[in-house]
Amino acid sequence: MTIEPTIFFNIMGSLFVLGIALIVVGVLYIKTLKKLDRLHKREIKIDEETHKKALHLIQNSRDKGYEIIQDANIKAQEILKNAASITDKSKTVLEKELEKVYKKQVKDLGTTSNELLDDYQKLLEDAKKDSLNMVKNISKSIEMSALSEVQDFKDVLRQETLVSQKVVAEKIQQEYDQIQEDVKAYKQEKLKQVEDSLFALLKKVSEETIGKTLSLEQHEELVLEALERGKKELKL
Amino acid sequence: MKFLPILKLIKTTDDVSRINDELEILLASLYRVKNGFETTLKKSVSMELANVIKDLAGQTNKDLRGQMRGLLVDIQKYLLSLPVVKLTLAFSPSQEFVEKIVSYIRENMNSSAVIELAKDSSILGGAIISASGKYKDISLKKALEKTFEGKREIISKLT
Repeated sequence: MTIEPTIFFNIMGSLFVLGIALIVVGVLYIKTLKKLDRLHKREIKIDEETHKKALHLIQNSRDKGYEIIQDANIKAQEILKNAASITDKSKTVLEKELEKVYKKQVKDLGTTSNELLDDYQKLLEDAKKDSLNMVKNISKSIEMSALSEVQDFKDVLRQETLVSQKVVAEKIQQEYDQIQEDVKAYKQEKLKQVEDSLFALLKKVSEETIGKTLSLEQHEELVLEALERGKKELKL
Repeated sequence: MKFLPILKLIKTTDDVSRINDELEILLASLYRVKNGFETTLKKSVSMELANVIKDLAGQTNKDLRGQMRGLLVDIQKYLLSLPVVKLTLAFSPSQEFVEKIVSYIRENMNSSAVIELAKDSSILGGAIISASGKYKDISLKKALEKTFEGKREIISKLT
């Protein structure tokens, strides 16, 4: 049994549309992956730049701190130099105190630097977590959007397929019914032809047989009978 | 009744044609000097017709040539007036049977009728009769067709 061209084209059209949709979804997915990769690289770059900046900042802070301390030290030295009347003990005490202040400042600076570093690390970690969450959210959102699109597409395709199936089934049924009618009509026609042929044949055979078997006397008898009937029916 | 002797000579339209032709010959011979009427009556027409004409002429009791033309023409008119019964048969009948048919027709249908015979073997038997504007097919073929039509349903069941 051959498939009707319209049904075949319907199926081919549906398959074509499905193929196109799958290609579109695939392209979108690839684009999304590329975007994610770009975001990740950007994140890494940002991290590196931030880290560099932070280090630079800390270094600057440290350098500035050291500079301040150096300046303080120099000033203190100057003060010491200028304060001639201050005794060696006071000098020593002052030097010790200065050294204490110096060490404390260094320690505080160190602590501040460490605190800054810790804060910076924490900030980085937080930023990293936020970026990761953001990326996760984006990818989740894209995934959900894509799934939703695919689901919608599937629903539409299912709907269209059902409609096409129904149309095809109806068409097939119509064709089948028409064929049934045609076959029935054909059979009846052929049967009638056979009947007519048989009838004609029987008649011909009868005529030929009778025509050949009648004797002259039988012929004459038939003529006289015919005249008798003719007299009555024609009223001559 | 005057021309009854002529009627006795005639059975079929062929006979009518033949007699008419002979009458034409006699008419043509009436005013001839050589091979005149007498000679022609003796030599060119059938004996039966010649005798009948002599009898009819004798009955008028007039001059033979003078009234002969009128007589011959009257006979021709009579011949034309004879009613014709056309019969189509499936066979060629013998002369005896033709006379039998004519005898039957003249006794039962028309006393002065002549028959016109035709042969058609396809009618198988019986006859087709046509007379006075009426027509009847009483052939065997017709009867067979009627029988077959009547039994068509039975024959159809055979298929």
